[in-house]
Amino acid sequence: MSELTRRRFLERTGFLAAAGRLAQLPEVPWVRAATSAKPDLNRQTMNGLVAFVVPGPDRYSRTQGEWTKAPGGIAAGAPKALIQTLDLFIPSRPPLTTTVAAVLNAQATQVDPNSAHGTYQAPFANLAFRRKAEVFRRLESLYSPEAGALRFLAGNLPGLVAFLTYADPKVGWKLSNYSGVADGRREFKGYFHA
Amino acid sequence: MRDVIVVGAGGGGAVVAKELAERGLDVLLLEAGPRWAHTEKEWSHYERKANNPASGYFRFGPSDLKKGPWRRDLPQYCYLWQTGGVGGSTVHFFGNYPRAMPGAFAGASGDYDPVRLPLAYTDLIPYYEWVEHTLPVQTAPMGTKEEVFLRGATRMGLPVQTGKDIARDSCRAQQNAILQPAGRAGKAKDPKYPAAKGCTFCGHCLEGCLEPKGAPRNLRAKRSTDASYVPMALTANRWGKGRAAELVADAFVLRVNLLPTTSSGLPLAGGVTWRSTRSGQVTTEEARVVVLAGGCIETPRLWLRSGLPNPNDLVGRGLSDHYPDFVIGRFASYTGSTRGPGSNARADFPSYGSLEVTTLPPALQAYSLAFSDSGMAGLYDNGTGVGAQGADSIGRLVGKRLKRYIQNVDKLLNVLVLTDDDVESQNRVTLSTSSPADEHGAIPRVEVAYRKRSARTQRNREYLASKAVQLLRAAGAREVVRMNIAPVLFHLHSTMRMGASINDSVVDPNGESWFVKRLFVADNSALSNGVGGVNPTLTAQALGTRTAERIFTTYFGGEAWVGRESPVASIDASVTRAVRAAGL
Repeated sequence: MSELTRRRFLERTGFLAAAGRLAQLPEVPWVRAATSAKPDLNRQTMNGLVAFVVPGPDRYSRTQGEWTKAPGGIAAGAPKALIQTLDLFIPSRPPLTTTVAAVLNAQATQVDPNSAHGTYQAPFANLAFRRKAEVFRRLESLYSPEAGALRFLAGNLPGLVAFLTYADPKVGWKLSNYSGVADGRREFKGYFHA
Repeated sequence: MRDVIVVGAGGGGAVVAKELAERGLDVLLLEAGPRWAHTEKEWSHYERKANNPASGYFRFGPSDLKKGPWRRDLPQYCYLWQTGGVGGSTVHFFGNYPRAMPGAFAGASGDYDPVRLPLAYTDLIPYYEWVEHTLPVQTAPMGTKEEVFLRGATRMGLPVQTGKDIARDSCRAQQNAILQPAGRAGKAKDPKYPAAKGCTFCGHCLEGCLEPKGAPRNLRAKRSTDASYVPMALTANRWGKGRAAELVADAFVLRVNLLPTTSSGLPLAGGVTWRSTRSGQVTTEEARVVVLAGGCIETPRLWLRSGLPNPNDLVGRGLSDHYPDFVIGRFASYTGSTRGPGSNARADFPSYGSLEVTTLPPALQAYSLAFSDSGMAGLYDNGTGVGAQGADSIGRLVGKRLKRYIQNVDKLLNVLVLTDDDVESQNRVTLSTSSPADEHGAIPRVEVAYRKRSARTQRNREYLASKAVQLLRAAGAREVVRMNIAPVLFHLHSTMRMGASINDSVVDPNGESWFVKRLFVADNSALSNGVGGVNPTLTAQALGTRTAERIFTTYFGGEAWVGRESPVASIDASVTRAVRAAGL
C-alpha cells in the first residue's frame, strides 16, 4: 500500500475513530500483515521505543546513535512493563502491543525504507534517533477526527515509557537521585509569614 | 423503599450521604469501584502499583486488578485521570481547598465566563464554612518547595493573601483538607500514630494517604472522603442522632428507573438498577429520591444510557477541565520536590486562573516531562503556535534531554497552571457509537477540542504560563521548560451544569433536574463552570451540602441546618469512637 493510500486510509476510513477502537486496528489489512510477525518483533520494537525515550548504554541505544553511559529504560525493565501495561490497558487479539509495534514499524519504513533491512527485524528499532522522532511527528500530524486513536497512541507512548522507567526502584530512582519511598520526611519548615 | 439512593461515593456523593444520614434518612450509597477497607495492605507508596494506567489500584476499573480499566472512547491525545472506588478521585487528590473565584458566580463583574453559578458568592459562604469545619480545612505548612515557590512569587511582587476569599492577584499558603503536622510528623522518617499526628510530609498524596501509620481511618492526614465523609455517613447513628448509611461497593449502576409521569407532566425518579462487578448479579432498588454523583464522565453517561429526557441537548456538554499546563524549573540546589503534600502554596490571578506548586515522585515527574502537545523539544513542535512564554524550551523531553533534566528530581520545581477556562459546547461527553459497549452498556466518549479553545481561555493559559516562568526565574531556576501538555483530565466540571434557566442548564439552582423530579446531581458535573480556575472540590462539596439541604426540606419535611447548627468535625472524638466501634 502506498504512503498516500495508507495515510488516507488512516485518516478517512473512520476505522481509527477512537482510542476505544484500538482493539480493532488489526483488522486494517496492512496492520494485519504486520501483526503476523513473531513476538521477537514486538519486543525489538518496544526495546527501540524505550531506548528512544530513555537511552542507556545498551545496543538499541547505540544503534539509534543516542546513548549514555548510565543505564536507561531497557536496564530498568521498561520494555516488559510496557508490554504488560499495553496488553492489559485494552485486551484484544492480537494484543495491543502487536498493534503498536505494527504502527511504529509501518511508519518507520516510510520514514526510512532502509530500516526494513537493518540489525533488527523491527524497522523502528533500526532507525536513528531523529528518525524515530519523525515517526512520532507523522503520527501526531494526523489531524482528521478519524485518526484519533493513533494520536492518542502516539501521544501517550513517550510519557508511558518515561513513567515505567522512572517507577523502577533500582534504575529509575537512581537515575533521578530519588531518596525512595518513606512514611515520613524531615521536611516540615513551619508556617509562612510574609 | 429507600429514602435516598446516592450513585457514587466520591467527592460529591459522600457529602450528600453523610448529610442526609445525619438527618436520619435511610440512605443507600452505591459505588462502582472497590471499597478499600484494608488500605495498609491494599495501597502502597510505589507509583508503579498505584498509578500505572492499566494495573494501578487507582485506575478506573473493577476491584480485580488483573482486569484492565473500563474502556473509554477518547478520540484525541489526552489522559483521562478517573478513579473508581470509595473516595473517588479524592483518594489521590492533593486536598487543596480554595474557595472559588467570586467572579464565577451570578452578579459578579469582571472578565469571566458568562456561564455562571446561579447564586451569589456570599450565598455559598455558609456552606463553605460548614465543609471547612467538617473536614477540617487548615492552613498548609511549609516545606522547602513551598519556600522556593513563595520566594519566587513574592519577588514577582505578588502580595500575600491572608483571608479565604480571593480578591486580587496574590500568593499564599494553601488552604488544605490535610491535617497539620504534630508531634513527630514532618520530623521523622518512620512516624507512627499517636506520636505523630497529621501530615508526615511523605510525598505520596498521589498514591493514597496512609499516614500516620496506625491512625484511625478518620484521622488520616489527607481528608479524602474515604477518611472523612464516608466514615461519618456509615456511623451517623453513633456519633450523632442519625441513621447509618449503607454502602455497597463494586456496584455499577446501569440505569435510573422512572415512575410514570405525574399530573405535572414530568416523570419522577423511582430508583436505580445496578450490576455487581464481582458476581454479575443485577439488582433493582426503589427510592424516593435519587442523587447522581458519579463524576463528570459517568453521570452524563448514566443519564444518556437511561434514556432520560435531554430536550435542550445540554447533558454532557460544556466540559471544563482548567486546560492545565506544567512549567518545570531546574535549580542548582535542593527544592524537596518529591516531599510533602501535593501542593501547599499557590498564586491566584482573578479572571485568569491560578498557579500551584506540585509534588511529583520520579515516575510521574518523568511522565510530566514527556507529555506535550508541542511535540519533542529540539525535534518538532506540531505547529501548534503555542509559545514558550520565556521558557528555555517547549515540548516533551526525550532521550538525553530527559535524562539530564531529571537527574536530580529534588532539584526541580513543578508549577501547575489551572486556567479559568470557558464552558464550551464542543467539549462534551456522549455515548460512543464507534466503540463496542462494555458490560455496563455504551461506553462514554469524551471529546476535548483542545486546539480550538475560546480566545479568552487561550489568553488566560498563555498569561498564566508566562507568570509561571517568571515565578520560577525569580525563585532562582537555572532552566525552565514549558510542557504545553495535552489534556490531562483531572479537574473536570460542568457536564450536567446548574443554571437559573431551563434553557441553559441541566439542573436547577437546587441541584434538581429540570426534566425529572426527585432526581438530583451533586458532583463536579453540577458546577456551572470551572469555578474561576481554582481547585473545585470545596465548591462542589459546598454545593452538595446545599443540595442535601434542599432534598431534606423539599421532600422530607425537614428544616435547613447550615447557619443554624454547628457541624461536627470528622476528626471529632465522637467520630473516632464511632469509627473504631464500627470497625472501619
